[in-house]
Amino acid sequence: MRRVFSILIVLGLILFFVNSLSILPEYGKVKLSKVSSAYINKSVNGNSEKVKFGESKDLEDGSANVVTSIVVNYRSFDTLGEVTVLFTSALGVGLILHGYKRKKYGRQPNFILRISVGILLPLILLFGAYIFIHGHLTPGGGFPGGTIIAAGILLLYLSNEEYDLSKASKFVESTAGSLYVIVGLTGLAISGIFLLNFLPTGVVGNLFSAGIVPIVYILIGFKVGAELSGIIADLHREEG
Amino acid sequence: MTALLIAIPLISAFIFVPFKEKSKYILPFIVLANIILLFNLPLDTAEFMGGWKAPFGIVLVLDSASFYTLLVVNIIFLLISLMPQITDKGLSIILLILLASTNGLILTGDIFNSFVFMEITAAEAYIIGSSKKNYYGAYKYLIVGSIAGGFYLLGAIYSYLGTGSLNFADISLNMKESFLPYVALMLFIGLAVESKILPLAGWVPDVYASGSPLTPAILGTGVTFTMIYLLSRIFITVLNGYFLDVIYIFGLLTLILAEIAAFKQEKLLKALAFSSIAQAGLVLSVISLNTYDSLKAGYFHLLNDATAKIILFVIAATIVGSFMKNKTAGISFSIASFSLIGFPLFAGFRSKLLILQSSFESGNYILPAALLFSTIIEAAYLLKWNIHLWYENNEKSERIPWNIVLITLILSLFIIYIGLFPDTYLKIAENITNGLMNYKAYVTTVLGGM
Repeated sequence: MRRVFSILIVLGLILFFVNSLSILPEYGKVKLSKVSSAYINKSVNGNSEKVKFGESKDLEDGSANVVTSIVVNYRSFDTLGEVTVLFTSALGVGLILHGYKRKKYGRQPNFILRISVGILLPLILLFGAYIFIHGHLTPGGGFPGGTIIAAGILLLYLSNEEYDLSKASKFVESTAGSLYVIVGLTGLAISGIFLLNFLPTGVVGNLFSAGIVPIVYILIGFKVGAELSGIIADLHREEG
Repeated sequence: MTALLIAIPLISAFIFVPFKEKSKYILPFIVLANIILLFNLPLDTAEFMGGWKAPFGIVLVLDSASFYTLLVVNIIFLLISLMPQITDKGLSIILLILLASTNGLILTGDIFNSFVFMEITAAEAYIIGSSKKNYYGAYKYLIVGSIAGGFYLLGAIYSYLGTGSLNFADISLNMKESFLPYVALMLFIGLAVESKILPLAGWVPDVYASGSPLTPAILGTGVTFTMIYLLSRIFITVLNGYFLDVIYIFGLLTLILAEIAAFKQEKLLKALAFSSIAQAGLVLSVISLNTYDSLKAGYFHLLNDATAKIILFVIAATIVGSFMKNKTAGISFSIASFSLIGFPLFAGFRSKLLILQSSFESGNYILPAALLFSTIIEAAYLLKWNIHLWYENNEKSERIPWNIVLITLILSLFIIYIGLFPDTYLKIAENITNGLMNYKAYVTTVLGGM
């Protein structure tokens, strides 16, 4: 009986989604809505000039990467929420695995792994840092950059049993998170608007061109990196 | 300034991560600061995050509906934070973020932003609801909640396709007719899990009966209140009453089925969890009649239910043995259950009477019949549990901590006060109703005079 019901519900859902295809616009023929076109032309506040890479000055947010300008400037509040979602998940993993001791194997990992971590780790960290510092110019940003850094930390854990960065990661996580809120509060203090882009913006495409966007992305990078390495540290514990 | 209601709990949660032990002392002060701040905010204003105006950026709206809902939810948080035995175990940081996210859900005027805050709320709820004893229930909740979150996100995507904007006010003005059924159904599935509509509320009994008094006390009152507010905000203000007849039917089914299930339970906490589902169903079906009186009655009942449920859940989860050694707690428990049944002189009687009145006035006879039927079942099992808990002979009885007894006693006295002079709750319910029904004022507040 239960199976019959489940099959019926699934069939109903499939029908529902197939039905909804008819109202969706055809692929490649979407007309940009007023919100998206305003985001792309950076004309939310009404300037209608065309944006030229490397020439246009003092645009609304100045970041050349449109996704970044939506994620960290136009809808920065959502990003604060997303960071909190990740924060909560990391906290939950820590709470549920709390009290377990770390398992020790008592022998050295492979020679190749140990030596290559020494060579790779700085490169991985550099690459991660590059991705979140240049998040407003090229595809990338705080979330992928942080993930890459956490991957480097994972290598560190694999190659040496003695590492325990969970305390340090907690502090980095805490500072980066509070600094993000403080950046928002600074905007509130300056002109009464939370998460206002209060720094000057330069020419689109330059490194120093997007006001608080790169700062926020660097904070997000640190926070995501610390959270994911915190999760790695927590999962590294095992009953023993 | 409205953003501070979200920013203050959030930053204090971030700061206190490395000092988990100290965070339980900070929680009541943060909640108190939030309530004080709330009273100093200007009403009927919209605040634009990052300075981008309405359809483009994210907007936080403080009208009379969100103000009073915020007040109620924050007071619930304050009451629970004053019982430190409950908020122990490193969960106070979780509660701080939960406070930020429920505040965000209530204030936000943007559908994707509400999805983000719903994700946070759900993640908190999974953590609060999980313990080693009920891993299966928590896992079920995690799966159901995540799928529902996916549906809510799809609903947000479809509403963006249908209007070209994510703003609530813009959606209510410009939504294309052909998108309405899809958006409504998907948002409804997304919200039904958290607001406990029956086919999707299977997780509730397992999670609420997990053993920790915090879980049902906060999820069953504060979070439910927020979710029902969000549901009525979306379906009444944004979609202008579209789809409400479906919610009405689901609400009625939930009411009757959950009461029958509650009657059959052999554990007190599970029975209370099913009763909580039933009350949510009742409130939703009353709200979906979508008249001024019914909305007012629905919110009045929701307030009474939340007050009674805090007492019932907290005492039911802390008590060991019979009430004979904890007479004060027993009296508050009995008062709360009488109010839930709807005996005259208690608050529940007033709200059930108001629900009957409002549904008769709108020519509806099915809802009153279901309400009376469910009240009979409710009376049967609640009285059974009361007799059981008062007269059971159990040597293992332990004393309940004094502050829990004091807070539950104050709340139960308040129930009697509301039963005699219902004006306080009626005023809150009226103001929420005014804010929800007056969608023209909502649109002008958000989009400016257009």
